[in-house]
Amino acid sequence: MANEENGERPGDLAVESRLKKIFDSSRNFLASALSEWLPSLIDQPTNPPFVKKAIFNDEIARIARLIVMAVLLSVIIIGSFKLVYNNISESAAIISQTILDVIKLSLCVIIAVFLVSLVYFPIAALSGVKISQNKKLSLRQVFFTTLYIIVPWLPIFAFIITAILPSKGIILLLLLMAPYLCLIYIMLNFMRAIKVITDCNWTPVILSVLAPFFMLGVIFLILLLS
Amino acid sequence: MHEELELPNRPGLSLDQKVPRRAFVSMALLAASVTAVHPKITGKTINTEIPDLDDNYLIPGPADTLTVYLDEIEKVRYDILRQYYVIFGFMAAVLRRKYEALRKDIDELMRLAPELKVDKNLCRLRDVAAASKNNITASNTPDPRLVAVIKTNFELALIASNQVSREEVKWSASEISPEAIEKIKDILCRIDNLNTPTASIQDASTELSKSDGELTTEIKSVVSAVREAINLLLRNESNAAILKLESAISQLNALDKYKPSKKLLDYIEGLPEDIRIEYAKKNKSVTTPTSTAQELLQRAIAWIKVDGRFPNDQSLPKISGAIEKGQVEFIRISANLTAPVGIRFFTILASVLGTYLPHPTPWRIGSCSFLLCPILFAYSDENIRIQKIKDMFYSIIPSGEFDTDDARTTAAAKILAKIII
Repeated sequence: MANEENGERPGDLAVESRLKKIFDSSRNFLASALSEWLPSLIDQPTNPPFVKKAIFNDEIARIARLIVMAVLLSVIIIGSFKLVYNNISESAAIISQTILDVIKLSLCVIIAVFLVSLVYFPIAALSGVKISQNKKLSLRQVFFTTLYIIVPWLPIFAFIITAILPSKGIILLLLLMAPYLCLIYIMLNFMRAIKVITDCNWTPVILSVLAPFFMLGVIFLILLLS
Repeated sequence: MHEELELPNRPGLSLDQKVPRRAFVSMALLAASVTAVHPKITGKTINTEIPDLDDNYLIPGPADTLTVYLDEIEKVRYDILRQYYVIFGFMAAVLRRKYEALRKDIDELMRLAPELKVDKNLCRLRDVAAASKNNITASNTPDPRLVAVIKTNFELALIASNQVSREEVKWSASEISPEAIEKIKDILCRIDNLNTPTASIQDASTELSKSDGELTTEIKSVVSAVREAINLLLRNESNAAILKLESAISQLNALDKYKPSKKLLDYIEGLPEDIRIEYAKKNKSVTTPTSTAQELLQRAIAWIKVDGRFPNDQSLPKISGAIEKGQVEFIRISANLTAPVGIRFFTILASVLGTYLPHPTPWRIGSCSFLLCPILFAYSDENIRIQKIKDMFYSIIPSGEFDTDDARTTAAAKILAKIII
């Protein structure tokens, strides 16, 4: 009654309340995303968990939060693009399909990261990357390092993949080159992370990361010129 | 393994001994990888089939084969004019020999009368004679400057004919020996003899160039019709392609009746009879120089009419071999891949670029694969892949002649979209 006396109708209050809820939930989500995902992307390698001789024993909760956030952001990015460029009536189906796609992609990334760790593990040992004189890098350390470095880039790759679809000309060219730029940053951050954990010289760290790429590059050139 | 990893801690092992071992392991890994995948190093040729791709890209279709036939059509121009080029080649060789002799005589004259070396006309005459000797070819007549020099070289002519006293010219009469005067007379006589054939071959060569130009225009028209037919085939418009090919055949048929200009024919008629008879024997004129090209196109039409299917036995005749009715000659492009499974991607890419978007240079293959990988990784839907790959072709560096051709880029994109990474 007091509101009516002030000239405000109940419908206006409902709209205002709903807008406030949307604003609050959006702000909370963005704050959560910024605190969970953004630092792990722009401050790679973050501290914690990357400290000297880190063993990653209690990292499941933290990495799970990071993965969920990265997947959620990827869903939002891919879903929003698909909603814009597809028929609105198909939105529900698109969203459910997108969620499935992104979860599938994330699981694939986790497994792929594990496989990459398996490949990197012996190369690191051969290149002389060690924590101390008698202690070599463990598979757990390699796996978590790779995961922490790669997972924050998932939304970026999701954006590139979705943005390629409507693009043409020079924008398309830039977007097609962007994954390679991201890969370079990932490699650099990975090397820095390994350096932080092991505290060894740069030479074996750089060698361990670049040697496989060098070999692939040589093979690529041979195939190209043959 | 663990013991090897502990190698740096072994007592008595110096740093110099540790590093080479590590380098050796790295090099061994690199060498093993390269040896494993490179067919030239292993010496193996592995024929593999690609089950996940449409086989059509391996076996040439009518469109691919017509692309190869274009080279055959380009040769028609030379086949028509070949007899004239041969005769011109002979006549040019005769003239070259005469100019070489003339240059030697002028050298001899300069030796007999060293004071003539300062005579600009004589020096110029010598230089032009030498240049003409080098320049005369079947399609390139003597240097036109020679005729001008010969006609305006009055000074030498007057001295030789004793119409002008030696004192009137810039060198001293006492310095010119009788042998030199005789030589000058001889040179001038030979210059007179060279004037007529030089002018004749120059005129005839101009006519031959005109004929060459006319035929080039005609052949371009035929090639254009065949190219249009190829593009129509790539768009699966067979009937329109057949019409274009029939048009090309009729144009080729008209070229069989081609005769060069009367001036050129008169020049040939004016040559000594022994030369004409000799070269008529050596170069039997081809009555239908376009017959091979016409036959290829006719058989291509027959092939298109059976929807580009191959004979069941896969044993297709060679170009010069006996051809059964209904079959068509073709050049096998790449029925078998000589590459291990791991490098099929590059082989396919090179094949597709070579067929649809020439030329498959290493830079083009490299930039194409660089831009193609993100698309293939990102999308699994074939239609999206085709659209994006088509857009991507515009960005290949260096760009190619057909990179913006819609029919060709679509055909290439359809093949590349099927690659599974």
